[in-house]
Amino acid sequence: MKIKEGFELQNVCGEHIIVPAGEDNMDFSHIISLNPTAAYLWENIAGRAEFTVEDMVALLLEEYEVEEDIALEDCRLIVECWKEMGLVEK
Amino acid sequence: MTGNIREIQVENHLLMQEITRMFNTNGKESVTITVRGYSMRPFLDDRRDKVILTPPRTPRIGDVVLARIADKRYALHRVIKKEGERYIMRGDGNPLYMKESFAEEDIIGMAHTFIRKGKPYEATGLVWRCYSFTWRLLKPFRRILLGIYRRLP
Repeated sequence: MKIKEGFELQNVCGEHIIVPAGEDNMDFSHIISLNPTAAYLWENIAGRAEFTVEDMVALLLEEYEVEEDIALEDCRLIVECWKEMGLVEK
Repeated sequence: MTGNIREIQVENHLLMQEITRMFNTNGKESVTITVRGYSMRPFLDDRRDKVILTPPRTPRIGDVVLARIADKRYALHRVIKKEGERYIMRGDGNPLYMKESFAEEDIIGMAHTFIRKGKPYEATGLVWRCYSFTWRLLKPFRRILLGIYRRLP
């Protein structure tokens, strides 16, 4: 899978916010924010042509002290969320 | 660590900076924000409604404008008159003795569309203009009408 084009991660009001770059309107009443961990993952996979949940787990283990199975579960959850929000495509 | 949806409350003046940045740096044509407060009742209500803003321009009487009215204080109200270089505005739902003044450079954005109960009404559209006209006519009864509105279920 890959991150869809046209989404930029920006720091807005101290939050990591996904800003749809192509849209003429910025909707502050409906914004997607990422916590620092999710933002770290996003930053590292957004440019990639392809990534897997395993890539995300590897990134987490590199940066955070976390059990692999917990990391895997979290990454799956995040991917599910991102898919639901239309941020990820196959 | 999840990507759950949650509501973010940001300090007003930070949001205002971001709106300005979206217009100036990100080249956005409009910005949507959630209405906070009750001062634009009966049309707009706290958190239920939204407003789509476009970049600042010279206001006309009757325009609804989001502007800085004091240090770190902002209001989205209706322009009622011009006094010299300053504009006077008042919330539709505010008592008649309440008003705010601002200069053109204090404008954050112009209300372009009002989203009331999920339905959009353009500021230049018939519904909004009829509402504005009627609300102005009803000015002497405003206090009573707003009192009734507050008691509605």
